[in-house]
This record gives sequence, C-alpha cells and structure tokens, in this order.
Amino acid sequence: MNSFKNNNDEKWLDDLLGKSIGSEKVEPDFEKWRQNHPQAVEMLISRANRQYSASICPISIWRTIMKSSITKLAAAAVIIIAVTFATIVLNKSVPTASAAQQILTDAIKAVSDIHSVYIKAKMRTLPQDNFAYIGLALDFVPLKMWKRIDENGLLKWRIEKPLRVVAMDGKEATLLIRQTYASRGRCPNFECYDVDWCGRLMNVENLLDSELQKAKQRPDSELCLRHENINGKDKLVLEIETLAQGDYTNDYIKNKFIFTSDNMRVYHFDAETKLLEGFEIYVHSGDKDVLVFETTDIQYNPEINDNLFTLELPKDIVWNIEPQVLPDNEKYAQMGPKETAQAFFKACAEENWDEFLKYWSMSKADERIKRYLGGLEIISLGEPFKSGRYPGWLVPYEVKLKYGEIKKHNLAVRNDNPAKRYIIDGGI
Amino acid sequence: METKPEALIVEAAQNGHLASFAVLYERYYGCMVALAYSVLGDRGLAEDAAQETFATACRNLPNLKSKDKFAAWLAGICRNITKQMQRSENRFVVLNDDAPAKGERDNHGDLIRRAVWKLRAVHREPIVLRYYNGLSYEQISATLGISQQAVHGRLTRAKRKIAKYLKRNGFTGGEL
Repeated sequence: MNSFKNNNDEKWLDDLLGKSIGSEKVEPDFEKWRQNHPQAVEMLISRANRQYSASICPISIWRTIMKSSITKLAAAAVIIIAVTFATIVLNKSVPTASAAQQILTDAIKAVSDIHSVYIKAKMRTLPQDNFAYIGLALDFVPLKMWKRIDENGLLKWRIEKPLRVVAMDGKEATLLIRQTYASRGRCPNFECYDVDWCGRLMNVENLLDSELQKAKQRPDSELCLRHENINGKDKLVLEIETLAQGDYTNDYIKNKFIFTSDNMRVYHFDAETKLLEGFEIYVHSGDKDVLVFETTDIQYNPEINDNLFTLELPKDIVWNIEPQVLPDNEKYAQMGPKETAQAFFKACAEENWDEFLKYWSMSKADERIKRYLGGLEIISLGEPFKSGRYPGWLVPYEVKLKYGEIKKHNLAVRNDNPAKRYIIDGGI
Repeated sequence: METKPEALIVEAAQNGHLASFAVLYERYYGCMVALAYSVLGDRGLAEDAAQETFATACRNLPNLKSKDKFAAWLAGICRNITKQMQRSENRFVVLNDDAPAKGERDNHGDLIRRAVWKLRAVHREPIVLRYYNGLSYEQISATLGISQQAVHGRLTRAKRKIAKYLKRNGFTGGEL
C-alpha cells in the first residue's frame, strides 16, 4: 500500500522518523555538570548563603505585639519573611517571599499623611563638593534636607551643606556652589546633582518598601530586617549591604562617593508608624567600618517657608552650561581624553581663557579660577584610565601652579554631551 | 518522595537550593539536547549546548519571573546558545539538498533528515523532540510553552510536510 494516499496512516512515517533521527537515550549526569561549571554553581549556592544571613535577623519579630492594624500588617509581613527564609534554610523547602513583600508594601502605603520632612545630618565630605562625595578621613560637615508636598501634590525640596545648596521650586532645581557657580535644570525623581540618595531618604512614605525592592533587584545586596525594643517602643532596623557598582580594576574612584563604596546602610524605623527615625551609612574599608553619614534630627510635617525652595543668586554668577556644538567642533570632538587634558592645561598655562572655555562647561572663566590655574606649568600627563562606573576618563597629571604649589591629581573628562567633545568634569 | 509542583522547585532553586536545580536538570536535560540537536544536527554539540544552557540558566535564574514556565524559559536560552554556536562554527545543517546530514546511515535516512531540516523551526522542533529522544507530548508541551493539543497539531502538520517532501523526491512508504 502506498501510504501517501492516506495521511492518517502515519505509522510508517513514525517508524521512519524514529529510525532516521532517533538517538540513544540521553542520560543526564548532574554531578559531572556541577564539576564542570563551578562558577555557575557557586553563584547559585551563594544566594542561599545570602538568604541565611537575612534569616538570622527577623526571628525576634515573633515577639512583636499586635498593637495596631499597621503593626499587625507589618508584623505579618516580617513573620512571613522570617518563616520563608527559615524554611528555606532549615527545611530546604520553598519560599513565598514575594507575597510577604507585597503585604509589607501595602502596610507602608498606609502611612500616607506625611506632607513635609526636615532632616539634619552630618557627613564626612567637603563643604563645596558633590552631594554624594565622601572622604573616609574627612571631618563631618553638616547637611540639611527639606521636602514638602503641597495640597496640589507639587513637590519641592532643598538640600544644603555649607558651600553647596540645591533647591527645587516645583519646576526646576537650581544648584549654587560657593555663592559663585550655578546650574539649573529639571530634576525628576531627584535624578540630578547626585542627590538621588537624599531623595530616597526623604521619601519616607515608601522608603522601607523601595529599599527592599531595590535590594531584591540587586543580587549583590544583602538585607537584614530585625526588630528591637528600645525603652518599651518597637523599632524596625533595616540593614542593607551594598557593593560598589562597576569595574574597580583601577580603584581610584572607590570610596570617593556613596555609590562607589561598599557600604552598609542602616535605617531605624518606628515599628508602628513606619516613619524613619534615624539613618547611618558605614563604608567598609579594609577591616574597618567607617561611619560617613548619620542623621541627627528628623522632623515630620514641620512648617517650611516657601522661600526656602528658591535660591537668590548673587550678581555675576557663573553658570554651568551644556557644551554646544562649536563652528570648529570637529577639531575638539576628535581629541581623546589625554589630548584634551594637554590642550586644557596648555590654555591655562597660556592664560588663553577663550580656549579654556572650550573644555570648561561654564559661562565664563571667573577670577578665582584664573588666579588658581593661570600660568601653570605642565610637569607630566599619564595614561587615561577608567574606574567604577564613571562614564568618562581619568587622566593623571602633575602641574606646577603659578605660586609654586605642585599639584598631582587625576583630571576627570567626559564627552557624553551633545557636542561629543571632552569636557573637564572634575579633578582640579 | 512527594512530587512538588514545578514552580515550587524552581523557586527553591532560585533561592540557592542546589538539589532543586538538580531535579530540573535531570528533568529537562534530554529536552534541551533534543532542542539543540534540532538546530545543530550533531549529538556532541547538542550536549555541549545543553550543558551551557543549564550553566546560563543557573546564573540567571533569579531573573525568571514566571516560575511555571521554566522549561520554556530554558528553551529560549538553549535556542540562543545554539544560534551562537551555529554562527561561531559557521554550521549549516542539512538546510539544502546538497548538504548531507552528519552520521547518515542510509539513503532513506538521509532523505528523511533532509526533509526534517528543511522544515521551519516551528515544525522541526516538535518533530526532533518527539523522535530524537522519544519525549512525551507533556514534555514537548512544557519545553515549547504550548498546549499538548498544539503539539499534536504541529506534529501532524510537520509530518504532512515531510511526507510531501518525500513524495516529491520519489520516495513512497511502500519502499520501506
């Protein structure tokens, strides 16, 4: 019989396919695979180890007394997390962490009557430098933060340290440094001027939840949520270990900013209201943990004068401007990081301030910078390198300033701007 | 031993429970070898691809959101790896009538393999999964992320195409 006349009769084709492409049975050998892929296995197992460290903490939550609906919700959430983690470790069974996190998120959303917050803190930093800049050996500098959401839902905030302040008036953020340099721009979600970590801190309504979510998304985070009873009051303490992001083959930038440090962030919450009562950042350096940030006072719903959210700028302010495409832009866009550093210092040496501004994203060269850099001598320039997740390059340099000081540092240059030419971004 | 729903085993593996991952490995290794074979046409390479598939899965397991679709997720990884291997080795397995299959055993087998590898992936994959290692409809369904009914439909259509190809090339079932 010719089987093509009957498509339903497929047995002959089954036999033929089985003979033609059939194979000896494939035998999985997990042990062999495991031996051949130690790194992948290590990554998998390390997740269990991380969860073990988290599981130690929440056990005491069992002692939490149900005093209010919020406490009940939060306690339930934490108990679920505790049981989940304990179950994984002890019984090698299966977690339902996502359910626990959802309950916790719901509990935190219940705290929604905060319309303003004022935080006072101290930080090991320089008074004029970047808001995320830290120095483990530096003295503490006072830092203040205000945030307010008005009845129309308009968000305004201000963050300041002695020589640097940024204020957001509901539309734009204005940065003022040393009463001399200013910058202005939109700043959604605190994503400007390296203040996003401050923004997260002031977002008390869902700080706990956002940190938990963030930790969940980052495999290098390790979190511990535990319960404390201090003077008869229930407290929640959230500790999050975070590793610096990026490649630190050259670790120049390591521990110079909060986000380039391996650190532990410690949040102290009131267990009943979920409001933040204290916050610290400890940077891990060698075998030491250095406290680099600590809140000293947190006030909720204070009256904040509207004037605080606008800055009065001095006359003759020097504005930070985005690099524009120059008539001869190609010439500058073709320069690499080292050539840019060379040309920049040459302009300083020759006090050619027009040329200087090709590499300096300010509206003008002010007298202070002219006095400082004018007439310098270039001693040496090193090879550019990268560090961490900094998008630009760092160029080692040694110059002799006009007044005799030898300055040895790394010039930060970056070209992620519309003109695509390297601009000096720091290291002066 | 009590049988756990697969999503629970996957979640345990996501949390670093190696024994759970071993269960998944044992369960799907054969499926991945067959799937890789459907592209590469070589047993040794297909086993390499399957092993690399599990290594990649092991590293990326936390990214898996739909825990009940582990096999389909794994199959996606496997397809990517086999494509990379195919590109890197510049392999074109029995995609035209001039290219004989590796390990050909006889003329009928050669013609059949050509017919199979001329199919589009959507039809070739279930055919190879079914006949390479005798996988069940349930296993094929999980691996391809489609219903068992859809598996049956694809297999039927694939076999019709194969039969037509064989007929065009002068082969009839009576020659068996």
